[in-house]
Amino acid sequence: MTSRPEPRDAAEETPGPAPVPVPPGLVTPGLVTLGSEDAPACSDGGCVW
Amino acid sequence: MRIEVWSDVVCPWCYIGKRRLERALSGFEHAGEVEVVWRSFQLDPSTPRGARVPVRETIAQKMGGSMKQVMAMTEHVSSLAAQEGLAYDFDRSVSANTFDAHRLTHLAAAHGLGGEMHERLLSAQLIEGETLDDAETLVRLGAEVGVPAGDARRMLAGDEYAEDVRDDVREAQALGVSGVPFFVLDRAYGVSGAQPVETFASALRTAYEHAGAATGRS
Repeated sequence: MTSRPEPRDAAEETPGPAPVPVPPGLVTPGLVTLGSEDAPACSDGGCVW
Repeated sequence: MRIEVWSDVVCPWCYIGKRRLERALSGFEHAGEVEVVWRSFQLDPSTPRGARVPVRETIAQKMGGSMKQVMAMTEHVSSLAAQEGLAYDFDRSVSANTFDAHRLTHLAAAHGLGGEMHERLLSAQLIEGETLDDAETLVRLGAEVGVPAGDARRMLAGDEYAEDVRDDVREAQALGVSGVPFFVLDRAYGVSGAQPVETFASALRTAYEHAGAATGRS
């Protein structure tokens, strides 16, 4: 048997801030990555030459 | 909007990325609301101080390539730098431990000159063949952008700003940054490497809109 939730009173609703749309991209720890993953850079292993 | 840039002063892609970000900012209508902060990153903290090894030799040792291959690689990045108005001179560049150069940037930032100092150091390393782990060289370069020589000498003789440099490096690790340049916009977006100008321009717009939506800016 399924149960239906009680309808909520609109006055009980506490709207939060509007969600901010997140553009597509990989998610790194806490950051949304923008742009190409292959842009040239340097690391401790050397630079992309 | 705050843009933090993790960069090392010996990094050829960092200087190219800096120029491309600057070009994107010059066309961004809200550039006056953008603060750019330069954060320290050492590509090779084990580089011995005062070694004076030509950069091409360091590259050859690291990559195991022939000098002919290294010449081709440095010529490639130099040609791309030239498109940004940067005349790299790998004939004169020597490897340096950049820890003190980063400390100098932090000192300069305390004088409101962090961006100017980072620019001066990049040019000194990649274009002018300066030795960035020589204390008197750093004092002179600092003075050229307005950092009092006495302050620089005192700082270099002690360990002031050493923890700030280490904090930047730890922060980079915490954010998952393993290469430079790395741009963090409002601690919400990350842009890795020397991206095209159009990518920086798009990232600026995206971050600005995101910040506006979050604050209810109309």
